[in-house]
Amino acid sequence: MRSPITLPRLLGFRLHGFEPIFKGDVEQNLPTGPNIILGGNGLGKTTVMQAIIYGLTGGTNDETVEDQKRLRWDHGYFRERLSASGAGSVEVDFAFGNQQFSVRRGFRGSDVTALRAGKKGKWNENADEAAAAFRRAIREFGGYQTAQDFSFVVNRLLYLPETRRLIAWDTQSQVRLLMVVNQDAVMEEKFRKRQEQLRQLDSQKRHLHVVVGKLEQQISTSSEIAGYKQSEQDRGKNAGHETATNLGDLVDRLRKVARERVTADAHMASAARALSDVSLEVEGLRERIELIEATLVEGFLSKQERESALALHKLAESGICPACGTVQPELQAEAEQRSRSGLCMLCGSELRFESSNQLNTLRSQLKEKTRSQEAVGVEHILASAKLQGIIDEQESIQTEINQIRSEDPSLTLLERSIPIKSGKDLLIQKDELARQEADLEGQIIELRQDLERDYKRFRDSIDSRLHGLHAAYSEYATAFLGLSCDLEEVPQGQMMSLSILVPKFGETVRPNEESCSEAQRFFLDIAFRMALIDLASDVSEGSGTFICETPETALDMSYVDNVVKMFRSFADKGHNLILTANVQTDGIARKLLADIPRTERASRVLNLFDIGQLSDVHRADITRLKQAISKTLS
Amino acid sequence: MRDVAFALEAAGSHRRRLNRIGLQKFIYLYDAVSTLYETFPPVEGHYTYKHGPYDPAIQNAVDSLAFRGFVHVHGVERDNEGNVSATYGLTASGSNFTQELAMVEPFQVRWRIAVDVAAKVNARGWGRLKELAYSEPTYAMERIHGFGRRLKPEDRFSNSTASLLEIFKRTLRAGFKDVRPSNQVILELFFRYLENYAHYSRRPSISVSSPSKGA
Repeated sequence: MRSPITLPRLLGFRLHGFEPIFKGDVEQNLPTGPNIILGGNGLGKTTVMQAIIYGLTGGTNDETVEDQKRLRWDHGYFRERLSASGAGSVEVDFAFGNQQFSVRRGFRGSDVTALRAGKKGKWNENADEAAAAFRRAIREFGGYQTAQDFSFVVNRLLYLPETRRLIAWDTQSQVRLLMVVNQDAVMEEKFRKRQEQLRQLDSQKRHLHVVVGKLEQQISTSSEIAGYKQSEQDRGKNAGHETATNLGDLVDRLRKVARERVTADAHMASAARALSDVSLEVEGLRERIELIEATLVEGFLSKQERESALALHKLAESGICPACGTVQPELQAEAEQRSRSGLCMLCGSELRFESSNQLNTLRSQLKEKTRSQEAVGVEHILASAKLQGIIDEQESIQTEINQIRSEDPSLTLLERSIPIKSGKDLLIQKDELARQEADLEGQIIELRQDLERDYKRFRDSIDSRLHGLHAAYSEYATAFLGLSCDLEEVPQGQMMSLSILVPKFGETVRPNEESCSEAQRFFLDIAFRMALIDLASDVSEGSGTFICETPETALDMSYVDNVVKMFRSFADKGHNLILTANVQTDGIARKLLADIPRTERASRVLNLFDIGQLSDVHRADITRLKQAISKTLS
Repeated sequence: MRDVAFALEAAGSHRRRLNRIGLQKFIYLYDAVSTLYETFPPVEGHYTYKHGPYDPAIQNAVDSLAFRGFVHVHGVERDNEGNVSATYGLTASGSNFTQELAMVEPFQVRWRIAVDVAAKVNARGWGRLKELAYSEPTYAMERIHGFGRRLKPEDRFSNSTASLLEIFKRTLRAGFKDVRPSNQVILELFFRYLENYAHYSRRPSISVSSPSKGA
């Protein structure tokens, strides 16, 4: 069984060789709670954020991390911006639970170049060893199955970049994140690969459909076709179509196995019912036996109470109250009366005593029923094994069919619009392809149903965790909106129906981004991410980090207090919060920092006006900017 | 009450007093292996809880036994969060009651289980009671689904101790006509399984230093 993932908690970072963006090396600790990267336009806020994420993951240049090619990035992002990119590097300190690591990446490539375990450990600067140790740390301490899963979680859950790549309405991202966070309940990678298989099958079917259409066109224009129509009956005898024959056999086998599966399903259901019936009888007998045994135990307790003159015996015999030790004749009389009536002498509740005469009979009945339960159980196990065998065979035949189909050269010719010369071949091909298309459709339906069933099972299995997710989301989203907001489950997905969680407020479900304003969609996405971070942290009993670029961009001043309340609530749970902010006299940064003791505030702010390259506009307004920064910190 | 008394007496025979959590975990393990002895745990029993398998009836029983003078409560302390901790042991009357009960035919088997489980736990250290209970297959499977789920380790047909014990039994019998492995052997295998599960489900240490270049 897989253990849950642990989210990385960021502890600090160091940037070397970031000239000309920054004047020198940059170093910042990131204590639990709010941390602000404070700057202005063009001062490098995004660079700092990207550098942190780069240090941790190496970017997103991997299709299993970022499916949109235009949004992928890696070390090249920095090479273009830094004058001495070859010598520059990023170091990020982070922790999985109590285990602390520091990772370094340079900009010649995106791989890890050095790693340190512990706060004061020695850096391993052998790049190959460091990269291997980093992968091992991700796997063994973070619990991630792959480095890509780790990168996906950091890039798509923990980091909300300026590109506003949202997850709240993104079905694939939401499903994957829910599965990775709950990987102890589901095999996310397997599910994703089967989804990919479904997409491929669908794509093959579409191709086939196009090819069949082209064939029909060729047939209708072929002058030879009339003569061949008469000899259609002979088509099956065509020796040149061995592959098609093999495929036909396989499809026949597949149909046969599908029929066997229906029978095996029914047998399995009947065995399960029989098992349930006999189990009920076993439970009933056990309950009766327990009651008789409890009577016997109570008899021994009373006997010992008498022999040792314990408190309840003293009450019955001498009227001594077991609580205060004084003689209470009325209490004694009542206790005696209750005891005679088979009631508890203190509270008067009914004590169900059973005669022990039947104990042996019941025990022998139980033994018999248990044997019968075992026999039915074996039948259930065999039925289950047979069903599984049939499912395996079905999958294996389908794989074989897919293999043959992908290797069929005539398909390739047709897909490239290369005409097949013989009219007879055209007809054979068309019929065969139409048959394959129908077969593909069957496979698609079956795989889709399997996936939908698996997904539903997964969602049911994490039901209690989802209650926590709803509660956390409601807390954050309601704080932001100022009106009650919760998550609602709605069906989504193009190829298959995967229910996802979307916001509901003002009595209306918001099934897509367009149903919310710009600020709502952005901050409700933040609420969803923070609720997921809460969920992941609860599952792994840790805490996480949320990194967000310039949240104020989408915000009018009347909502600032609400957003601050939302972030504060998140930070109060022991999480780290890293935000970029422009200098504003009454913005999020100032209000978030107001809770922090004054002496600590400066250490939580990386002031880019001190280290960045100021523009002429900044320089002209420097006095006012300094006053605003001072106000933020004080 | 019977199981609480047996648990305290069996632990007491190894000069151990059990605390609240220890008592819960011991009785869970003791119930889990009961099918090996052809008996069953109570129908209404353990649930998943944040501190592992939990049965409220156990705490109620021990409190009742303490009130009636059969159980001593030792070292009662309250921590900063208001949680009360204490350890329990049988009084002389409690011990007499337990010994009498253990000699009565219907309860001899359960007493035997308590003695055997206590011996296995003792051999591994009582401090490991919690991790052993956490490694029990039913609990290990159910805990991922949250709190409050009923645990049935005696269910032979789910992923449970009962099915694991059955596998051990059948494997040891395979190829040996008329040979029946003793409960002791199977119990030892089961506890080794728990130990191994606990070991491998722990997070390992990691080194980032260069591997040794030795021969």
